Amino acid sequence: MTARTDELLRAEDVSRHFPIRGPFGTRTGVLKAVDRVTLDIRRGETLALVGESGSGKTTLGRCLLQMEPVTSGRVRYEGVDLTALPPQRRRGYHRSMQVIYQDPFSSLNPHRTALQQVLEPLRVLTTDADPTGRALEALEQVGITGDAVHKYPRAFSGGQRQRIGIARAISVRPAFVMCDEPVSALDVSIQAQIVNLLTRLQGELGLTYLFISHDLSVVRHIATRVAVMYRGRLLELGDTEEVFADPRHPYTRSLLRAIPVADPRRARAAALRPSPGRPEFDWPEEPQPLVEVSPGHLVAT
Amino acid sequence: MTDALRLSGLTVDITSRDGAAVRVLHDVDFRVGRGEIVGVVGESGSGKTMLMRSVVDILPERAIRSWSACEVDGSDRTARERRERLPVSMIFQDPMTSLNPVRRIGFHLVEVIRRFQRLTGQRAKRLAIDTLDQVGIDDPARRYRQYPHELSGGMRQRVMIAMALLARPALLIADEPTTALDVTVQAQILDLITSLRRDAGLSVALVTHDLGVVAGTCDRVAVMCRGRIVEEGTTDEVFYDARHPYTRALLAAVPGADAARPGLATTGEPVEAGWVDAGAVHVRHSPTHRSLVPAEVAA
Repeated sequence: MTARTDELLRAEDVSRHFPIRGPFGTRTGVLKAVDRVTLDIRRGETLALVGESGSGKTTLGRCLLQMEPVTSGRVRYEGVDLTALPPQRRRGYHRSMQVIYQDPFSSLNPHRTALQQVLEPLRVLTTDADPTGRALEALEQVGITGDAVHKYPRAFSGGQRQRIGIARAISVRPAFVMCDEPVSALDVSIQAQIVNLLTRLQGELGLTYLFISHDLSVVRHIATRVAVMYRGRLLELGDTEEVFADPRHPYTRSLLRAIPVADPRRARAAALRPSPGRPEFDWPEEPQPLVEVSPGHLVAT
Repeated sequence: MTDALRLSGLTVDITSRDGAAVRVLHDVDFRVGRGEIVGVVGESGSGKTMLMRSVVDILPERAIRSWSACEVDGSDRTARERRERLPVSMIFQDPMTSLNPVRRIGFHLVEVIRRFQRLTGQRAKRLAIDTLDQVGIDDPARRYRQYPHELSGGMRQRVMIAMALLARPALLIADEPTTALDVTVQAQILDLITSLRRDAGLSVALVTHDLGVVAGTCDRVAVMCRGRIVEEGTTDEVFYDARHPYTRALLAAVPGADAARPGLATTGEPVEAGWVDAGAVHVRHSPTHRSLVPAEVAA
């Protein structure tokens, strides 16, 4: 992969290992939560990171945002190696890189009103002269207006709480937002509203998203490109339509086949095909560089 | 042939501390035929879980339940429960909190076997291991000795299903059984439920918010909204000939149904009151298909 001009964020050979400790705190092994992943995120795109729970997708996201130290490798933001910066200088980048969390019930402080929730990052990360005005503007962008801004989280539904979480992320005018399973705690109809809101904000504010999800139907809808992770490694990366139409890695194929189809006739037709069982593929000792099978479509060997 | 479950006129009110009552289920009729898998779909707060909890009598404390009839496996539920145990098992969304963390897997299974099948010792153990094998757990003898934390979420949900089956139910109620699981594991659990229906004639009420799960698994579907069943029919009738505006909105909100569409349709607009509230009446479109329509439309 050569550096592209429209590249915003880049992970180079990033690993994150955790020690596995035995009964007396002795180190008995190492868990490679992220195992030598290289990928780039382009300005203005939505890169989806998909995989099962435990595949390392959230840990990789956290490494990109410097919420988690990398064991090895580099993370570059607009060409600057964040992993090499001293912590004080790294803080400047926190304003540009924000997060939306999965669970809108536990990610908001129950003792603060919607407005106070949004004011907090503005006060910490910006020197905005009028943080209240900016916070109200952010809340309005997600559709929370009027007296509602003075209400506490318990007065809001799950979808509205997620809107507050989004307002908090966009209030500081970031360039990059990591959405960590932003809709998986919500009902289907509310999911659609939040996905549409994210898409609209991306257009209005020129945001770049890393969209972490295990829900492949939402991913297909929102993502420009898809990265598939399994057991800490990146197995496939490519344009969304190409990966869905022509998945190359056996693991990606099995993942796509497992999506329930909301169409009874197609579901019945699929059920007649023999069940593929667990996919079999090589698992080299060390992850190998991905191979480009068509322009921009990379697959692990 | 008798049904596994036949409920009519079920109404549930929940009273708040100041005595005001909120009606969470309005005059619901619901049926699960023997060997049938019936899906119950709707958003949170639509009453689908309350409906299932009414059957096994685990409603919240301040709930008041009334029905005109409830038959389980062909006989009156209340009389049956007084005479013997109720032949209904229920499994829940979260397999992480449903097992006792300080007891081995075997303990959970043998507890059910001793209670419901009057077997003990080695015979109980053998049955437990056979059942683990039946629900697709590899190396069941080893799993029998393990603790819940040693098993993955999918494995734990299989253990829950094994426990449910050992109670020999006429009806299995599965409340969002795959919502907490990954898509590949979800597919395996749904395969398991389908094969238990095929091989053992199990009757299942499957509560879910995922229309994809319904399409691939269920024979019939009931769509719930604001405490009422707004539409009910065979899976094909509901998916290809939806009559109620809420059902249509729900189907349109499924992502991926049409990948080329620029925005996802939402059900953000509340369904017009006349279609769900007191005045609405059920109209039959076929022997198996009914939906709510406003009284003036029906007339």
